[in-house]
Amino acid sequence: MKNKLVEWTSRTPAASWLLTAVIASGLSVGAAEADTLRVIGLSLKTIDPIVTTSGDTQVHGYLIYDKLFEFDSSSTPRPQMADKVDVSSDKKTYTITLRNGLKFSDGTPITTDDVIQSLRRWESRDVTGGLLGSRTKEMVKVDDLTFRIELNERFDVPSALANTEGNVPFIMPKRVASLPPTVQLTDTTGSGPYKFDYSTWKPGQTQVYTKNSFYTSRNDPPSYYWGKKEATFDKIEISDVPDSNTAMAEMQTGKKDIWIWPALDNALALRKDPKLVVSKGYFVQSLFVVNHEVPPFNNIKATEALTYLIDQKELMQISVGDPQFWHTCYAYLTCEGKYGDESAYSGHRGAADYEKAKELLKEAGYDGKPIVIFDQTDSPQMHARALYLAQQLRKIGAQVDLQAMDWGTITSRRTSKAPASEGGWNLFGTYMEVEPASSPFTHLMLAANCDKAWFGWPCDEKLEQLRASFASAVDEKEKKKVTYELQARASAYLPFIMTGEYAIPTVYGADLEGFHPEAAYNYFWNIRRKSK
Amino acid sequence: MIRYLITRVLSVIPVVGVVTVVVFGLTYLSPGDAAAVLAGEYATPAQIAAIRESLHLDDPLVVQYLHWLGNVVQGDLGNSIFSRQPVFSLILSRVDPTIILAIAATVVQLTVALPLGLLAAQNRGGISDRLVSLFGVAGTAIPPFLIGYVLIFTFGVYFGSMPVSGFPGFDSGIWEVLRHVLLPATMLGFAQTALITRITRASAIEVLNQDFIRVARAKGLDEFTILVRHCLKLIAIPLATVVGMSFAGMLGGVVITETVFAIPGIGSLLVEAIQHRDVPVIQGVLLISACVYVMVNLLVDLSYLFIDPRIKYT
Repeated sequence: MKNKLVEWTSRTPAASWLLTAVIASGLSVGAAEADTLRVIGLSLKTIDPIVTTSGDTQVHGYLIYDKLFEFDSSSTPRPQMADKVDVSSDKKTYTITLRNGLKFSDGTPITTDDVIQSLRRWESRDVTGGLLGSRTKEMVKVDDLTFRIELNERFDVPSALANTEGNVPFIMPKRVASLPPTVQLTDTTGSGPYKFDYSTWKPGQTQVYTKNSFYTSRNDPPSYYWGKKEATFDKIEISDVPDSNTAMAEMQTGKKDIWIWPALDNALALRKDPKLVVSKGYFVQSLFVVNHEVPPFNNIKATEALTYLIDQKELMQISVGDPQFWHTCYAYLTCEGKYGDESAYSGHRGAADYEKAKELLKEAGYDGKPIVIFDQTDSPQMHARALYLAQQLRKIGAQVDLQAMDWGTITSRRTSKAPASEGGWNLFGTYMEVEPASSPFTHLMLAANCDKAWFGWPCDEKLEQLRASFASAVDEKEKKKVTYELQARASAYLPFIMTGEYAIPTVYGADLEGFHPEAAYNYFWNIRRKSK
Repeated sequence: MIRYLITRVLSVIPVVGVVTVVVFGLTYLSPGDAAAVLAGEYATPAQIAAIRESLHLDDPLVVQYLHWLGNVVQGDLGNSIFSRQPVFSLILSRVDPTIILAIAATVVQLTVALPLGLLAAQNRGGISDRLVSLFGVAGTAIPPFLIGYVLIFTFGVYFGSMPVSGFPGFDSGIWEVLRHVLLPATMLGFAQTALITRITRASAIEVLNQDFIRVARAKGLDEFTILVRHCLKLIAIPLATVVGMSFAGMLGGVVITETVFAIPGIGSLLVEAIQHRDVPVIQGVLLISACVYVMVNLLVDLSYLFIDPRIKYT
């Protein structure tokens, strides 16, 4: 076949132009440089991990910053930049000492002044940080390596400081962290294993990282985010390849090493390639956001009707497909996390029950006005789910106004609290990574604090009390008890509709070792080529 | 002549003025919230509101437009909402791939289209004419991205010898740059090649039927000389117009080609900005593109003076 193709190209003038290029190019094309890790799938547009919660920015943050605490593989927070932590007997005072000799990427020493300012900026922006900030009586410097956090009430400080979701509490120089949390930093001096090459950054397209020679790693064996963080590659190049077919070609030809967040169809197509590993990556909790402010879903019976319409198995088969990449789940704190408990859910499970759903919608006083569903057409999975929901509602006689739009438009439209008939909305699909969705700290859609809650504005005092109880709980037994009660309450109030969990795959070269695709925010330290 | 030039250059101002109003109006009328996109998926409404306020996105439309226009007049296109980099710097950092791609695609167009068009005209009704006409139809009908995928599969995956994404920059050498633009330029040039082939053929047929060509043939001039020295010169004006328009369009960004080959050019910058509602970047790119388009058109008009000395601008 190859010989015939060469013969053909040599006989036709148009093809000879391409053949010439191919032959010539073959002289200089080699394998990717051995000391450069090439990653695709990320599109870094903003470099401030406190201004945005964007996943691309948090991955960037993990490369150039370090944290006081990190979670190990058992989800236990362990000291990372911290050397030790002393906790008072009433568990209201934490005295944290930094490791000796820590330096920023510009060579200046890291002191508690930098740490305190970094945490203050993070607290003013992040949900978990805000909880810590509201419980903090004072955060004071003891000396250059030690500082103290005094609390008004008990709080699991190490878990909060090891937070891997939302805005991550990275440690930056004091001068950088002194910026208001809504003003983006441009000084990328960091505390992590890599340095960011700002001069070559093409926002949204390419970014390059090189080793931070001033970084001092822990020597403990790496365990998930915690432990040794060795910058094994001299250089990391991350680029965005917007066309997924081109990205597939790059992976197949070995020109790229890791493909983050590929579409499932593309990932599955690469499964037979022996040079590649297709991993399940990490799971997300798939859900429908309900607008609790406007009819008919300001009535719990209408929301309950939705649970009778949704057959998670059917929905996942339609929107995801391959059963290896999804499972049903009726735990509000996810089936992947340590607090998720399906037994706390008392609502409808399994196949749809149209009669019951119809009855509940009628009891809710549904007046036959169109139910507005945002249909996110730039995501195949979200689009399929919107179509499914619309079809199920139509089956019980509801009028549906399925409005097609991209995610950017949804971010604007979802802020409206107007009735659906006046430009507002009733339902849209989204998802949350299981790590934040596994904790009442960070599960935004579980926050039911009315006007301050996430879009949909669930409003339930009991849920809020249980979230506050969780924040004050410091031992695991107590946390388990609170989270069970919280999930039971959620199944009665229905802040959102669970639709199962599915995997966001990752594809990487089979010649790599030490890569952890299961992390929602991927990190690229401790990765090696097996041949090295 | 000088008066004509001044008039043409000054005529750019109202055109660009209209462009700014339309672009600004459309951008703000379209739904989407840059503050929400910037804040991220898990931001609360209060956090988004704080960012919106800090970016002055709540100001009245007229206030925002006048503020932006005032800065533009002083040469400041503003900063990207997302990266905080100056829009002008962002555009400059994306110009190289787009210009190289436009030049390479134009070279592809001309080297393929001119010989094919002349060949078809000379053998009007023959097999070569029919094949060229078929190519003309196919080139217009086949979506360029399909050509791109075929090229990627053949030369990127099957032979594994050509890069299929990115743009290396001139510091990696001109050869490396050419290798990276060859496939995208071929894809980009394909559709325009078909169009220019058809125009070349049609124009050449008209010229070849004229009396002076018959005289030239009667005097014993060979066909090559007739085509190149006499025919090509006469069809240069319509060709210059089409090639010039095509080139100007490509300088404004070739979205599909840059997307398929992951080339960080002006087109991909614009698409990213639209997806994220990065208004200053959208406005900056469109403003500069409009200016470039108008200026290239002016250059094309001026090129007529050299192609045909009988033309005079007053």
